[in-house]
Amino acid sequence: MSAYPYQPQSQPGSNTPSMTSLIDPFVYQTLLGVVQRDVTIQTTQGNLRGNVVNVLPDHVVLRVGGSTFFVRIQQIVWVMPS
Amino acid sequence: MFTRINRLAIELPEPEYGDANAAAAVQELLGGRFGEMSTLNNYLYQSFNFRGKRKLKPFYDLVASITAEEVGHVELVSNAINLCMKGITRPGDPDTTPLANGLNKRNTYHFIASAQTALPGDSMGKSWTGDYVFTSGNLVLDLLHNFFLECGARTHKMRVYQMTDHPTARAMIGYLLVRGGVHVVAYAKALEIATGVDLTKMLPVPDLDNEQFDATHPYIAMGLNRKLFTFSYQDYQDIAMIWRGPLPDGSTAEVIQGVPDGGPVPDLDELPEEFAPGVSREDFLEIAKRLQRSAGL
Repeated sequence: MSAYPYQPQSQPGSNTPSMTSLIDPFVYQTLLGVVQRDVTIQTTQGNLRGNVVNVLPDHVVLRVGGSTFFVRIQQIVWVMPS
Repeated sequence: MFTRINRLAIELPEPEYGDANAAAAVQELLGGRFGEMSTLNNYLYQSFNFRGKRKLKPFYDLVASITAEEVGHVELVSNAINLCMKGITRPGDPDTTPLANGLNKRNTYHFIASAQTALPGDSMGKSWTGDYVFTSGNLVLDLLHNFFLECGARTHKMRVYQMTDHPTARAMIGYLLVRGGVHVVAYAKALEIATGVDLTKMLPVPDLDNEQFDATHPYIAMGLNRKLFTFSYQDYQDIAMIWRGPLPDGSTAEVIQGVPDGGPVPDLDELPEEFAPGVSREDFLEIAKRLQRSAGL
């Protein structure tokens, strides 16, 4: 079995590869659903409120005010879309 | 009498993130025994209570002008605390416990008594007290006390600097380390003139070297390690009779009539979860209407 997180979609007729996460795969899928939305992310350190710019299998890219934060998904407790 | 200028002593960097426990530690530099409220109130009362202001004018001028600078320092530390409290909690339906992130922080007063803003107390929540004020009325004793107080304040700043690397806290502490160093030397010079004693030989003078504290370097570059301000448009000029000559770091003392340029006073976000300021959009429009009516518009 490949060690890469990339797994081609098994749906017939679709040739586009999609990524899955080996850790928290369903959290990753859910986060993909809030891209471009304003969210509050509670981490083990505190919270951040901003706009989800991008989601990758192990981190979220969040734009907070004028700054960009890369938040490790493993350190997220919950995400609340605004 | 006092006047007020709507500027901070320096520009404080707006932080990208907050740190409530850093803010709690920084409270020690505000309302602690050796905090800015102590330096302020000590010099304030000593200046009110000065016997022989005309005869000993340079000493009175020194204590009075440093008092005014210290009000600005109280303001600066408070603003640094406020900026460090950014983004700790979040707005939301009360049943979702939006203030939960405040529950396990070092200072719960910040979340209950104030709306995540500074309080006149120390890092453990103990109120500042007038018991910290020493105004014996004896000139040499008060100057010696002030020298000791500034040394203690410096020690506390060096320790809090080493407890947090939050950029806003660091910038504020860096600036105050430089200005505190000036005050230590100012009182040492005042003692030398009052008694003839050379303090650098009498006591193991505390290490006033700021080289190891990177956050001090921009302020040293501005010459703030050798300047004393009168903090008055025309008064307290005789501080120049004390603040003159060479300083322990090799620079030369300089007196500036007036105040430094400083930086803008930061505005603070609304925190609906704290009901602060608690003025809804409807309230705000009503206020605007009342202001217009009272202005006759």
